[in-house]
Amino acid sequence: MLEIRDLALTLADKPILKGLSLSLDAGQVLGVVGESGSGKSMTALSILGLPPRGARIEGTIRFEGRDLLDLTDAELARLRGDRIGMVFQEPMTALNPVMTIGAQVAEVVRVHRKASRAEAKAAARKALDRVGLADIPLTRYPHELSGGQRQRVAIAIAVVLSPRLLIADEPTTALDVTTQAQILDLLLRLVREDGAALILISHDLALVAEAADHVAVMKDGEIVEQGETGALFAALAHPYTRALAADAARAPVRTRRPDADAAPVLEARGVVRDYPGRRSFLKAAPPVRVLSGVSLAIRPGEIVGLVGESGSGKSTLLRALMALDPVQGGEVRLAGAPFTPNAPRRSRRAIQLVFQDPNGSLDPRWTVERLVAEPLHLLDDKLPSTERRRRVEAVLAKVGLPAEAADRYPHQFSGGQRQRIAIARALIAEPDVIALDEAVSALDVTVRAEVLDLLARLSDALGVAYLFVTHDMGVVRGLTDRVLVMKKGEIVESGPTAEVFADPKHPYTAQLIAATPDLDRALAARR
Amino acid sequence: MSRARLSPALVVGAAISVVFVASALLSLVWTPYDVAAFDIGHRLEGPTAAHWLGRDHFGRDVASMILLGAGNALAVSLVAVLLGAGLGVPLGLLAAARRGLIDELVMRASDVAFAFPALILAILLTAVLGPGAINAVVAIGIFNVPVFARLTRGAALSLWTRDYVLAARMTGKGAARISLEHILPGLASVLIVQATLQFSLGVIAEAGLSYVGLGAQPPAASWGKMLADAQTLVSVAPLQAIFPGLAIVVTVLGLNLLGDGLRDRFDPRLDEER
Repeated sequence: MLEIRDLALTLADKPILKGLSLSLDAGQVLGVVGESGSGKSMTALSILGLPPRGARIEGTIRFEGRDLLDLTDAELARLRGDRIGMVFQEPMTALNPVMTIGAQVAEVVRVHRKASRAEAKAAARKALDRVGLADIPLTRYPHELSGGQRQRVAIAIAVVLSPRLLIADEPTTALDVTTQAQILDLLLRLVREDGAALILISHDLALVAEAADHVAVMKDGEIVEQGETGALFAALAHPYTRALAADAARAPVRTRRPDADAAPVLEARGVVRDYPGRRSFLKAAPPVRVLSGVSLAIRPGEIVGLVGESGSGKSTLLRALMALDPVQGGEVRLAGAPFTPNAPRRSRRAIQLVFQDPNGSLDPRWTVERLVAEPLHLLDDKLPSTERRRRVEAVLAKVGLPAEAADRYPHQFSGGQRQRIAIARALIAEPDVIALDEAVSALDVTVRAEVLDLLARLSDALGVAYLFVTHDMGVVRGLTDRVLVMKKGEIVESGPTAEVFADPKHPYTAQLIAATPDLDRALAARR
Repeated sequence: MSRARLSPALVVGAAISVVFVASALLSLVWTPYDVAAFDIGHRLEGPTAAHWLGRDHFGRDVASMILLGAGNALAVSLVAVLLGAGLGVPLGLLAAARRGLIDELVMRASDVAFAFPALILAILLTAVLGPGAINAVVAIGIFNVPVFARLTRGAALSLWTRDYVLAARMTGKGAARISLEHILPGLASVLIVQATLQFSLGVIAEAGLSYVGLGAQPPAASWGKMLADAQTLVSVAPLQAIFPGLAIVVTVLGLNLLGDGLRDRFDPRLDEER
């Protein structure tokens, strides 16, 4: 049904796609995996006839017997949304915030079919029912829905006219683990029911292995390997595929074991955190309890994972542990002393934070030297500039960056290197604990594996403890000693990582583990 | 995303602005003729080889008067912008950093200031304080304060939510220090653009005040004053009104083009890609 031959795309004389060939039959699911910049999304946009301005395309894209590259814009526009549907990564930006969801689904019907308002509305209702939003009225706006529900609306828009081909570009990446699994199931069910073909684009090898019949592995604008899913993963013929699979499952080797009897460096005792209720004209609503008595302890050199879905209170707990917000009950103790927002400045030295997005956490106007040296402000003595420079270079060396990096600006580095800079900044004040807030979630598989290795090495060498806050069970499994599972402001399960994964006590933990794509499990299910 | 390409608006605007500033600076040290020397015998003479733009109703060289007028316009609007930014930017930073009551006070005060038509109130102020260039500067400058305060606050609020600001907070830095080190540099581009636009408004306001006799007083030269003088003679010597009028129009247009050009160049979407 879809056949791509020797597709090449150049943008400003730079080859983005180099001689790509793919084919796909009705009812098939094709997984396209690769790291960012490998050309996955560009392939999708080329099929949709939406390449970026100034791109030159060669080759053929035959869809239902016609070459899409020969069609005019108007003809392509008639295909898009009708014969070919598309689901994007971020449902918040893919939906129009000022239109009701019903109107957005109905719009597609009205554009492509001679349908009356009422008919379009009925079709929209039916599409929303199909994607599991039967109890959501058409008159809702996107901001009134959860992330998962928004992605369902985006899928309803894509499938309302029963397209022959559905392209989903990282459709679950922006969602929680359990929601991810539901959305993926939904997509697969819909294409099966309609007998349509699905191109599933993802960076997640395990997810593709679970869902796709065929897999194409992309690197630098080329398909390095493609084939039937089971066979491809069984053979792992191409070194790049092999490396990807290895990196995805990488568990960094650690030599140092934390001392179980040592006094904890960071401790929370029955921490309660309320958010003030929404203030109306005269009176305030009662406060909303986000954390209800959370206790945890992290020992020197220990790596602890804190997992939970968005809204579980992870971030609130993290902010309380960092003493950024006051707590309404209980206390946080750092290195044996109470730690509050009013704690003396030097006490903050003992705990540092690495953020999820290195783009946002590094001031773009500062040099790396200045950025990395910023926590030195926490030391009591002001350092002379030569000493400052020496320490910056030393800590950059620890995270594997050259000394010259100190004079450059964040935008001159790749995402992985930027996260290394952020880690260097966390290390320079020689903390006892580093909290990592989804610190590897934004990174590609291979880069993520490198950063995890680096973190394990640093923990071995420096004896620093980590609190790994994440929704990614895979990361937790590979790196942490102990795991805490959080739900609705409470820690519902905690224990040594291996035990929790082998025998989860709480149903929510079991649900989280089951929802996380797992390469071995996916391949075992195939056999 | 080449940032090296200059838009035509930016080039033209910058060129006009450079000529404007250069003439203003030139007038400080040199004018073609001494404008204190009256020559009633040659009054309202048209353009000649010696006097390119002709002579006014006192026989003074119009070209020299225009140059001096540029100097006056530059001085008044520059000081007014500096006054506005000097008070408005710190107020905006403070409001964004402290929120709460201070934020409310600053914003409501600027609401009040915005509720009055600026030029009319400037006329009122100069009428009370007495005419003169200094009072004109104060009157124009006061109305620049809320403009800068608001702009600074809005942009600063969005910067305060950035992770790098949180990182700085965790190093124990105070709000003042973070405002200076992280927030203000991030605002530089929007502030420069706004300063350029306020500058052009300042030129108009100065001309308006002088036109009604509340700006620069004789013997100081002002484009607005020249227009006012020419108005009564417009049927006899229309060129008298054309040259100062043209000077105002071209200068304001140039500054606006420069401001818009800078705005495009500092587009925040491009900013992210740097």
